[in-house]
Amino acid sequence: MIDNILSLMQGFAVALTFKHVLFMIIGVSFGLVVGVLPGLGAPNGVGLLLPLTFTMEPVSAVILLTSLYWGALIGGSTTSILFNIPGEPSSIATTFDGYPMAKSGEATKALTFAFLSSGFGALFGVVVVTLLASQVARFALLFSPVEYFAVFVLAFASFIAFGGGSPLKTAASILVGLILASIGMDTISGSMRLTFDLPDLIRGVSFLVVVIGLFGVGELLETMQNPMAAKPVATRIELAGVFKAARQWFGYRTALFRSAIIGCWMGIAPGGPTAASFMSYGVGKRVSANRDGFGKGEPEGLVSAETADQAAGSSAMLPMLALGLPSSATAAVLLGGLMIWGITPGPTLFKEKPDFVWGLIASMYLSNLVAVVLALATVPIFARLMQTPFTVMGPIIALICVVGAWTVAGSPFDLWLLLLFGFIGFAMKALDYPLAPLVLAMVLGDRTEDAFRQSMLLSGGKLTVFFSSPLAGSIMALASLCIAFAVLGALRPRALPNL
Amino acid sequence: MSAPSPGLGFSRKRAEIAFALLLAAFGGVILVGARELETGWGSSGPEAGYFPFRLGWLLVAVSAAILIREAMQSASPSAPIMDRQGARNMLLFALPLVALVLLIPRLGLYLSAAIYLAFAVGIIGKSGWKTAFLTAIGAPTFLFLLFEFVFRTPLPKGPLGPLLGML
Repeated sequence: MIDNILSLMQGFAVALTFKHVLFMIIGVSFGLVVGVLPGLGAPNGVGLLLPLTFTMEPVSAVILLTSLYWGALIGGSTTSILFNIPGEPSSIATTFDGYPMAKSGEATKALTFAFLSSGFGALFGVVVVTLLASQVARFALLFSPVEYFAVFVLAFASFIAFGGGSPLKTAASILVGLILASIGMDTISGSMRLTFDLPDLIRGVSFLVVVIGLFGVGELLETMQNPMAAKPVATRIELAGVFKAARQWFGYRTALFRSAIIGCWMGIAPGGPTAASFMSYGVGKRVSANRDGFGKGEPEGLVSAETADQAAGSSAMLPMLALGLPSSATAAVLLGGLMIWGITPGPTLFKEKPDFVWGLIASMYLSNLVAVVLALATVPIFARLMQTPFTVMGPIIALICVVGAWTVAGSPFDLWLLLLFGFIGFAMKALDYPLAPLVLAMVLGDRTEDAFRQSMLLSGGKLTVFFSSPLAGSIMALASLCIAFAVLGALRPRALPNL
Repeated sequence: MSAPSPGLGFSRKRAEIAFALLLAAFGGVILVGARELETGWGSSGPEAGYFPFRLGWLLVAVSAAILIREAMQSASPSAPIMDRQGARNMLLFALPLVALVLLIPRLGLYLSAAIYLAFAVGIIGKSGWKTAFLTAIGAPTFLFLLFEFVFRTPLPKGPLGPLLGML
């Protein structure tokens, strides 16, 4: 543990340069805008900015993009509270109590609570990451391709079981992602796969274009069905109100720690922020003394959801760095970025690129503080921005998506893919097919397949290899349990309580 | 609006079935594509088509399960997932976007963006010519300055190229 703290100090030396602090501020500001505007959630925002970081130093790029993520997570709660529109799936649970609070005239309190809880959850998550980083990395050294394949299977299985959507639809989403990932040149044999003689498909389908299409254009199409519907609760944020709310907020210590622990657990074990916020809200609803008010504007409900959301978001960086395992759509996009920057996630990363790993971890302390302060300071600006009629905002956001897809590879074909995935994303949302598993599967697809093929080489083609080592065997058993849970749940459709 | 409108094809059940069929068809296409490769075992373990072939089958199976579940569900009057006005608004938003994608390879990004914004904000959005004009000139100019000078990632300029090159 002492090593970790020493490494963290070195990380601060990397993160606290003028350039990186500036990147944090830019990243967070952009993230807030992205989180507030419909059609530009965190995965999409990171996706849009990613092509512009290809030539940057990896550590600068990752600080910029993770700061954007924290900003977007916080910005997403602004729309949840003022509009009842979750900026991200992970802020759905924020709307349950945040919007009723805002409607009853407590918008300042709701926003302050949300931002402070986010900040607390994030910091708690970073502390956990700091303390566990080298232990997890050491543990990950035990992994061979067999264990990696088992972990990927577990990640998919836990999405199917706990992702919140219909297990069959989640499975379909994952399969489509895996298939899309396999298009293009095969990494092992070099042969062209599923290109159907289209030259544009030889380089594969870019996950960035898919992300911008699904999350950006898809959401715009949904919003534009009724562009006048989004009307914010009238807000005036006054500094005195913020301080008063902040003092009250300390009264929710128990809920804060409970939710932060749930969030970290769900962030490290692949569950992700969405599952974390729902689970934390559910637990709060069961154990809190204020449980009767949940859903009617109870601050503790808001605190539970927001804290767990952000705690999961920041602690998810640990499995992402140590195992290359993202637990949210945004983390998946970031992981895709790591690979493009030439950073191979995995346990050896901690030894080979300590500046990168610890620079990122150190930056998370600071950028989350920046995010809370900037979020509070800019609410009035965003409240005004949200007054811009969507008939003007929509086309501008659409243009941003098109430019973003163009910068990936400068190919007109990508723009058509963008539109195609926009419509697919719209249909998937309308029919409750979850989007995040598709992106996750797309980013993990190649590595899942490689791990499988390498395992098969090691074992001489015996599928029993996945149950032969105790580690792989227990991971696979856990994955089977998840699937069994999902199947049982599907057989009894209303078995899960409606949160 | 809550009554099912079978003639429109927008009822939830129809949409669910149509989408599951699309998924199954996609799985089928993948099966055909994977069959062009070796789908079995080779000297270096599973061949290139091994994974996609199995994924294709799984997708067909999962979409079949979704179809069966939808078909078995009682035909309770399901609310339409989209009403006529919503569909119209969505198309009015989507069609200019398609035009933008068509224009970019021909006119470059900035000119296409200006035409798109003027049309989408001014005519479809009915925002008044002042707003439309400002958006159509302002947004592409901002993009130009941002990408050309800050990000140094030139976007296609089209026929404006020689003109903008002088800046």
